[in-house]
Amino acid sequence: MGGVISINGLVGGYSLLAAVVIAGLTVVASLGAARLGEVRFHRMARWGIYLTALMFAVASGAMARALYMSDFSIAYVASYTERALPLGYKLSAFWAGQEGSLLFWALVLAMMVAAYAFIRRHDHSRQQAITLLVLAVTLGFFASLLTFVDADKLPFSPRHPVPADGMGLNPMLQNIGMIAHPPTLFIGYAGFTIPFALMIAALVCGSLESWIGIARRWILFAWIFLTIGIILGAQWAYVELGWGGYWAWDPVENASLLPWLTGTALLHSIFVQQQRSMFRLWNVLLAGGTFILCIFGTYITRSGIIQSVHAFQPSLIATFFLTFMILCTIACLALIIFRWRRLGQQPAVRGKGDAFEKAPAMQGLISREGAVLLGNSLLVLMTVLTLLGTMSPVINERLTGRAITMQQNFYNTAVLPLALVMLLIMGAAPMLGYGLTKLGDLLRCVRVPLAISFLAAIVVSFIVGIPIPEDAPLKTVVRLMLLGPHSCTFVVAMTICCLLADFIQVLRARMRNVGGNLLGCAFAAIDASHRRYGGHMAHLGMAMIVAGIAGSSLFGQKESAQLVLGERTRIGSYEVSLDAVNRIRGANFTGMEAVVTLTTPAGKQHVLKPQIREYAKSRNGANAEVALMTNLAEDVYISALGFGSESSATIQVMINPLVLWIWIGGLVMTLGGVWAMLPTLMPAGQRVEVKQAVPVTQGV
Amino acid sequence: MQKMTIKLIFAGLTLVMAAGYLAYAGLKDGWVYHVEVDQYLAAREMHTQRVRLVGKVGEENFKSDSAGLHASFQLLGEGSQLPVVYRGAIPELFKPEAEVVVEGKLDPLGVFQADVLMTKCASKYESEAHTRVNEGL
Repeated sequence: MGGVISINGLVGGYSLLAAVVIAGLTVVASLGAARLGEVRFHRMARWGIYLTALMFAVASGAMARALYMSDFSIAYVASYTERALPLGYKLSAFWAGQEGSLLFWALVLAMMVAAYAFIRRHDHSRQQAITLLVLAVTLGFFASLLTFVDADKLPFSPRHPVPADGMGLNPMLQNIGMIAHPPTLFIGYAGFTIPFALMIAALVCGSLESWIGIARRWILFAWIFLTIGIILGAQWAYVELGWGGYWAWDPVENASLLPWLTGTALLHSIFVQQQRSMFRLWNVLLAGGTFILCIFGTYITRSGIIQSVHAFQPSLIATFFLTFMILCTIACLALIIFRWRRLGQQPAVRGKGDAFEKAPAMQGLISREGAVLLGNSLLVLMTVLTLLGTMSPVINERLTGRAITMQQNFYNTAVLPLALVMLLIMGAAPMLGYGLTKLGDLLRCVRVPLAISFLAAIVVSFIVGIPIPEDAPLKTVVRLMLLGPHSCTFVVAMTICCLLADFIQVLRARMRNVGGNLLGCAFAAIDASHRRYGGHMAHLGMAMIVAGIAGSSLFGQKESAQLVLGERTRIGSYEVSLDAVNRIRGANFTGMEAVVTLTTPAGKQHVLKPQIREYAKSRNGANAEVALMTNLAEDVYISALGFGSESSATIQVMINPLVLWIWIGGLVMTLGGVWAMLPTLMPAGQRVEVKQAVPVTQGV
Repeated sequence: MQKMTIKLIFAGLTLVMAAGYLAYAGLKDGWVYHVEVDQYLAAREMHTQRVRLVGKVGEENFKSDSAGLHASFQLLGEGSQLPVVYRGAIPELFKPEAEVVVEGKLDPLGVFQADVLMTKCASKYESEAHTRVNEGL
C-alpha cells in the first residue's frame, strides 16, 4: 500500500485492525469462560463482542463518510462512485463492490452478534460461552479478511495518484432495487450465523433441546430478510436487465436460493422439535447446512469458478471462504458423529403429573410431523438438485476437461415437479394434527377444498387451454400436461382453500364459544396463535408466487416492432403507438426516450417511456431502462432496442401475466414471517382461550 | 416402531429415486457445451449439437441491425474465426471487439446460427454484469 491516506482511510483501516485484535481477545475470553465457567470471563467475552461491533461500526462510518465526501484517496470510493452520482447511489456503492460488501456483511453480523450477547447477558452457562466463542471466531475471520488478505483489495486501500473524479457506479446498479437487495441478503446470510453457533454449542455440551427455543427467532429473522432479498433481486432483474424475466437459475441466484430452501425446512422442523421433541438430527444438519450454504454462496460469487451474471472478479478471498467453509463442515460433521447416539435417542419429556417419559415417536406419515418430514425431504432434495445443477459445469470440467452450461430446462425438469408436490403438502398440512391420522379422516376434511381445486383446475384449463407448441416433442407435451396451468391452479387453489377451511373452522369455534362480531373474532383468533397464522400467511404468499410464476412463464408473449412517429401496431390485445422520440439528460447520463401510448382492450390509454441511457462514466455502451404498465392481471413490459433516428424506434413489448402476484406474494410471505415473530398483541386480560379446533382427530 | 422405520426408509428411498429420475431427465437435455471458438472448431462431434460459444466480435463483416433484430459477424478465437448469424434483440453492449457468448447450432454451410447473444462488460466493473436476452423465467 502506498500513497496519501485520508482521515477516513486511517480511521477505517485502524478500526478494522482493532476489530481483529479484539475479536482474538474475545476468543481467548470465551475459551476461559467455557473452561473455567467464571462470570468475569463471560463478561470479558461479552464486552469483547460489543467492542468488535463498535470497531466495525466505526469502520463502516468511515466508509460511508468517504463515499458521501467523494474521498477518492480511497481506491474503493474512486472505483465505484463519481461526483455527479446522486447521494442515494453514492451511499449504496457501499455494497456495490467486493470489499464494501464484505465490510457491510461484517457490520451486520457484528451488530446481530452484539444484540445476541446483550439479550443473553445473564446467561453464564458453558453453552453460552461456546456460542460466543463460535461467534467471535466468525467475527475474527471477517475482520482478518478485511485487514490482511489481498493488500490492494482492502476496503481502505489508498489510491495514488488521487483522481479528480471517480469511475462511477455500474449503471445496472443505479436502481432503487439494488439499494435494498444486497443489504437484505447480507442480513439474511449473517442472521444464520447465530443459529449455527447455538447448534455447535449444543452439540459440544450435549444439550440438544434448549438451543431450539433461542434459535427460532433468529432463524425466522434471517429467513425474513433472505426472502426479501431474493424477491428484491428478482424484481431488480425484472426491471433493470431488460430481458423481461425475473429468475434465470443463474449460479449466483441459486446461491441465494439454497440457504433459503434449507432455512425454510429448518423453520418447520424446529417447530416440530419444540412441540414433539422430534427431528433433532434434522435440525442440527439443517442449521449447519444453511450456514455453510450462506458461505458457499459467497464463495461462488467471489471465486469465479462458475460463469455468472452477478459474480465479482475472482479473488484471493474466495480461497479463505472455501477454507472456512470446509473447516465449518468438518467441525459440524465431527460433532454430529460425536453426538450421534444422543441425536438418535428420544428425549425424556415431562408427561402427566411430574413423571418424565419418552417423547412420542412418529406414528405415521399422515400426520403434521409426517407432512413436515415429507416437506423437508422435498426441500432438501430441491437443494441437492439445485446444487448439482449449479456445480455441474465445474464437476464436468474436472471430469472431462470440457466446460458445460446448465440451462433452465434442467431446473424446470428436475426441481419444479418437486416444488409442486411440496406445495400440495403445504396446502394439506394445516388440516393435519400431531400423531397418527386416518386417511379417511383426512379425506373427509379436505373433500371441500379438493372439490373446489379440481373445479378451478378444470375451469382454468377450459378457459386458457394448455399452451403446447405445435412441433413440441413428446416429453415437452408430457411435462406441460404434468406442470401445466391445470396442475398449478389445482395446487394454488388447494393451498388457499385448505388455509381458508382451517381458519373458518377456528373462527366458528371461537364465535360459538366466545361470541362477538366476525372481525373481532377473526383478529382474536389470528392474534391467539401468531406462529400458526404467520405460517398460514407465508403459505398464502407462496401460493401467490406460484400463481405468478405459472402465469408469466406459461402464457408470456413477446414481440418486437419498428415504429415511425405516429405509427400504430397491435401486440396481443393491446394497441401500441409511437408518439414521440425525445433526447433526455440526467445527473450523470444522456440518452433517448420513446414515448409510447398503450391502449388497452377497454380503450384506456397509458403513456410509457422506455429509454436508452448513455452514462458518462460507462465505457460499456448504453443501458436500457424499461417502462412498465402493471396490474393484477398482467404486465406490459416495453424496452427500447434502438433508435433509427429521432423519428423512429424499435421496441420490444412483452406481456407477462400475473407477475404482480409474485411481488405481492413475496410481501405476504414476509408479513407472515413478521407476524410469526411478534408476541400476542391483545392485552392479557382481554384474551379468551379457545381450544383451537383441529380438523382431524388428534393422535396420541 | 420397527414397522414405522421400514415405512420411513421406503418413503425416503421412493423420494430419492424420484428425484434421481428427475435429475436424469433434466440432465439429458438440460445442458450445452460452453467452449471457445478454437475448441469448438477442433471438436467435430460438437458440430451437430447446440452449443454455447465464447469469443470476441470481429470488426470485419460486422453488421448489426437493432431495428431489424439481426446481426452477422465473425466470432474470433485465438487462432480461428467462425461466421455467426444472430436473430433476436441486440444487446446494447454489442459492438466490434466486445466479448460475447452466443448459443445456437452450426448450419450445413458452416455458419453458426445463434438465437442467444449475451455481451460481457469490460473489466471496469467488478460486478460483471452481462446483458442477456431470450433466457430465464
